[in-house]
Amino acid sequence: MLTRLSGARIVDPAHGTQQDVRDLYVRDGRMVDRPRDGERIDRTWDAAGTIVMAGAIDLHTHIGGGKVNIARGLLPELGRQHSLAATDVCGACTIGPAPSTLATGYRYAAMGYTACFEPAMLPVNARQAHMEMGDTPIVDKGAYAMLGNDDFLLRLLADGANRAEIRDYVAWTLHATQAIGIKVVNAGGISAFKFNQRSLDVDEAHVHYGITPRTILRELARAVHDLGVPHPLHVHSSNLGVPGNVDSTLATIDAAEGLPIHLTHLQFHSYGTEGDRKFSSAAARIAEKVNASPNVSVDVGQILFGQTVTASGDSMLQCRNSRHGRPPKWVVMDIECDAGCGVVPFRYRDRDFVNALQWAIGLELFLMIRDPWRVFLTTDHPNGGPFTSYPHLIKLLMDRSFRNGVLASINPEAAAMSALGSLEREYSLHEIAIMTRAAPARILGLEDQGHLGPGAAANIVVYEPHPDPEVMFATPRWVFKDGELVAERGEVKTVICGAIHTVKPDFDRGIERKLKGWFEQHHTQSLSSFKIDDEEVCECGRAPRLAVHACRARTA
Amino acid sequence: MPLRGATCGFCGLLCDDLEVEVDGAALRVVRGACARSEAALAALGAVVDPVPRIAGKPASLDAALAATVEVLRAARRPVIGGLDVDVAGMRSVLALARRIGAVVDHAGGSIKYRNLHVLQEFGGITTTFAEARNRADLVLLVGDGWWRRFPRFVERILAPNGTERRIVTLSALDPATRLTLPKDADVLALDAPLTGMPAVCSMLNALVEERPVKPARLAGVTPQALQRCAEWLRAAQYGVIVWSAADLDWPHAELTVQAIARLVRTLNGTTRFAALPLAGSDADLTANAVQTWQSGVPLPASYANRSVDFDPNRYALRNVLARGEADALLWVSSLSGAAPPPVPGMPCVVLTRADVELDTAANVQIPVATPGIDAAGHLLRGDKVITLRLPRLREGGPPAVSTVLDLLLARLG
Amino acid sequence: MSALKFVLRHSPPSAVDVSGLRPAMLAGKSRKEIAQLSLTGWNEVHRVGDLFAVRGDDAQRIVIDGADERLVRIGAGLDSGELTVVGAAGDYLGESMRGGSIVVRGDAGALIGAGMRGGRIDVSGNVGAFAGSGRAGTLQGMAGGVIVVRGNAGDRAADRMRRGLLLIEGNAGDYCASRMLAGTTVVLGRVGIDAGYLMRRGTLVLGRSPHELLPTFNHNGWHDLLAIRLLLESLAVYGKRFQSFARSRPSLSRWLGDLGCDGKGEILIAPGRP
Ligand SMILES: [Zn+2]
Ligand SMILES: [Zn+2]
Ligand SMILES: [Zn+2]
Repeated sequence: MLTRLSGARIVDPAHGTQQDVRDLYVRDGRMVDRPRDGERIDRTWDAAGTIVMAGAIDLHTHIGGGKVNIARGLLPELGRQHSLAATDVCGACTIGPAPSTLATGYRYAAMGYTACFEPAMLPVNARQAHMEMGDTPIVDKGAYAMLGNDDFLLRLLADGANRAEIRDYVAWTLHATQAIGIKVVNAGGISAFKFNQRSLDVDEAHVHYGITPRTILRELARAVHDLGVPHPLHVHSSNLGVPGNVDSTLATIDAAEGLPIHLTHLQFHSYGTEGDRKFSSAAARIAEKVNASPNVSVDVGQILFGQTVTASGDSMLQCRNSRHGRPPKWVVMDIECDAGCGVVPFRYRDRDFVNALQWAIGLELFLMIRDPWRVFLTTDHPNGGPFTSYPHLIKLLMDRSFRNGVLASINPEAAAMSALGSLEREYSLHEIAIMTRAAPARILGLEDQGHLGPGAAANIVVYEPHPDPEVMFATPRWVFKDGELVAERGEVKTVICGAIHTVKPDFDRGIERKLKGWFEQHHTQSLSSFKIDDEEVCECGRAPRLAVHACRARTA
Repeated sequence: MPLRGATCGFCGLLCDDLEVEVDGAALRVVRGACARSEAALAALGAVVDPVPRIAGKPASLDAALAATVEVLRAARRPVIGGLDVDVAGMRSVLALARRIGAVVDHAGGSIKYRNLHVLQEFGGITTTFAEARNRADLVLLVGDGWWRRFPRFVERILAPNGTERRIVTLSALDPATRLTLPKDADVLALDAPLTGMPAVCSMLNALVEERPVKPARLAGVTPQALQRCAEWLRAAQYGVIVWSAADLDWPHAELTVQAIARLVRTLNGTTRFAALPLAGSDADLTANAVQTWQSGVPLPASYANRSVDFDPNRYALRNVLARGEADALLWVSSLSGAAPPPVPGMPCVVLTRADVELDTAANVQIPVATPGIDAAGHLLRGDKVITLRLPRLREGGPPAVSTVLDLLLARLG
Repeated sequence: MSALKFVLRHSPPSAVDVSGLRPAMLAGKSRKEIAQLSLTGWNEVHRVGDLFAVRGDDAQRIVIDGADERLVRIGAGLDSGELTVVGAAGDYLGESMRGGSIVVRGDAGALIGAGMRGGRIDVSGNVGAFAGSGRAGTLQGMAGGVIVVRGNAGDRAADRMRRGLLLIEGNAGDYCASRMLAGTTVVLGRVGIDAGYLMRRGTLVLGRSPHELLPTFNHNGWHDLLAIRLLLESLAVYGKRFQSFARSRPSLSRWLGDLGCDGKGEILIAPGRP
């Protein structure tokens, strides 16, 4: 089966900056250069006058796993108000502050996204996370396993374990949970909270294990790097949401000692303490550091005004921030010698000083960090706002006068404290394509995603140019996933199941002896129950394909 | 005789350390047994070749499916109840519910959702089995039946690791269970009557917050014991309150659960405290979790009119049947062996555990595999975080719930 | 102009949401247009004209005649005008209403006035559980307006009530005013067990002593305070029984609680038989 998409302007930053009009060819779900000699073209899609990009990739979106489901269960009164009726191909579901998995898949696909990555999969909760992702239709999925608050690792570090052992444990976790990366959330802090420590800065010692977040960050970044896992350690820094946390964030960057790290939802970690209210933007300091540190990539975690719900592994900070929650009901959990979670609903209001400044800080980061290959478009869905607001966010980045119009309508005190009004930068289409396609594919090691070159998955989004980028990005004319038309003008046309993306670095299985003893002593399930094999993950995750991406180990 | 590793799906603890001797159809737990697994395996082990029935008479699966399709085609307002099924089974239940516009609810709905109501209208601070096992220095046990419902809770969570614990029993403890408590544990028995539990829980909140209350006004508990309990709670480093919602079996018991959740939240302000509501039996958490992630709203739910809605008042199975709104019942049960509620005059299709013999004349009865016995299956454990895969124990046996429902869906078109 | 009247022709097999039959939705429409509107049941859609005989023309005054408990959400979202129900009303009568008035000549179901913010509901008969409360998952019940029940109310009346007035001439069930946040509830008859459980603020006035009060309520003395007297006098407009209750100038026994939940609520109890 050979398909041609003709006449579109191609925006494909992975293959350079030129945006020429040319035909694209798809054979059996993959991009090909051109037809073979004499090969018949089975179907041609006339895309004259359109703009075409590869399928978008969200590298940080909370789409599955226990805490998201707690968020859904916590707010049924809001969920039921946002009902999506069934269509010929879609099942009935809801899209409240924590959307159903069905709605998540449908809406992502309709918006031109073809892969989503759950960033905070608790190893003990990995099966459920894969099941929820499996019930998220159309898009490909992958997940980062959370480490750095698990008693096993903290004890290893406290006992001064050697790096090989830590590396083996990290690799073992990637295999056992079928993950594509490692995330650390408030390094050591979630664990410290279980010992009633209510805050933990980068160089403070964990009250029980005596080690500092800096050690945890350094060792995990090192292990991930040495194993050759493409995605650098994904870091949710210490002191999320706390005024003055800029210092923790800068210290976190230093803790990596030049090794690659990815700082997630950076907006929530870029706060100073200036001004009458002791809350200010530190985006400039952070951006300066990021610009000067080529080992660092970030995603922003932009907040957008409205009702949402925050779901985080960071039980320590969620417990602390719970008093700001609206409606005032919230959940905090300590979890199984592994991690924790906290779910707190939020209503971000543009008239509120803090919320308005948070909004401005996110945009400042987007505009002040120069390299679009190192800054990714996220709202930390649903924590800063729903993923469905991405087209609006793109407009804020691409259209300065629109941005300044919104700035003029928010809390004036916050607007006055922000440098946003003076930032002239406007993102180009090319840059948007980098930050939503080419760059996330590269930083995750997805060789066949995020571009339209030969061999790539035929994930193609066909946009109709529009003076309002929000309109253009909200409802692409066509979305093709693996060569199949899955959505047209915002409507889902075909429901298919996406693949699961993982990595499986080599390691010494001897680590299992130590783990087995640990499980018997401390856990309430056996080591063999804990591990998820390939067949099982495909069954749980309804995956037609397990895409295992290459790791190139960097140690002898 | 072959020994197989097994996971017990008959309570929410999902103990995965069982060894079962398989002798043809017969099953015997040789390690990790509990009263619930022994009873279920004895019953299931005695069944050979269960067959579907139509109006009580043996029939082929094919004929039973055809008869079921007839019932469902004729129904305009079907209800799907039971739902003690594995994840795959629940996925199929929901696919069917969408197809036929059904109301869905779990058999134990009204009891099981007590904790969920409190989650939805208050929130909570909770913990999991391994956290309680490794960290709890104080455990407050509420209720008078959790040791029957979760037989190995003391053995697996409270007893190990030599952690010094204080244990408070709010309700009178079963003597046999008392014997299994760790020898070195400090035990404070309040022995409060169940009927006074709402007042006791409110009183504990007041005492912990040092409000000017007179504990002597509380019937059935000595004021000294209550004061002592409040002191212990406040002194804990990592306190855990344990209950099984099924024990709190009186109208509006969710208010008492909220009082407990509030107590936990208050104590957590200064020390660490968490709730550990024991649940997960009969796949109540499994059914609710799958419904919640797929649709965005929990059980009980309606899939009428091509959309989904949540409303415990309107869609609770009991209420729907009492109001006479439904016109067909599909009962899907693979773990508990529970029979459907009587629905005289209403067409009724029953998917049940192989050993269940119905005295009601259901239109159609189809035996289905029990997860962890005749089919592999996934269930959510009682602490809401861990999902385990229950391996299959023996060959043959009836088809899995998902297999039967997927066949049905294919026939419904 | 005469009231716009909907006479139920036959009881529908499943609950039907009739919140569409309110002035804001019907004003300016002809009877024919109204008869064409659809109402949703369980996998079935009813034309208004099939379910009801439609008479009259004044959409500001609506009468639903021959109603039964299958009709749910009557007057939900009402913001002005009058709605009269003759017969029984189903659950969620007056849910989220903001103004106008609903009169029921008969009984009403559960959750009447759920989440209401203004207006008035008057029920001549009995009502189900959770009167003046809120839908599952919401944190606040009724937050304004007045509900008067001439008969008895079920359990959990005024649960999570936030503001407004809930008046019950007859008895109320168990856990009356549970989790109450603010506002005033008056029960002239008896209440069931554990009134005021987890009550945070607000006022519950009882015309008769309950058998037992929760031990987490503390006695605060006997009161004939001006504020209380004014409150009682203000009730006189809601009918004879409230009038005579106010005129009896009862000296009220005041209890503060629930001390297990902040304890800033009050239960005021008139002397008299339990
Ligand atoms: Zn995070
Ligand atoms: Zn996140
Ligand atoms: Zn068992």
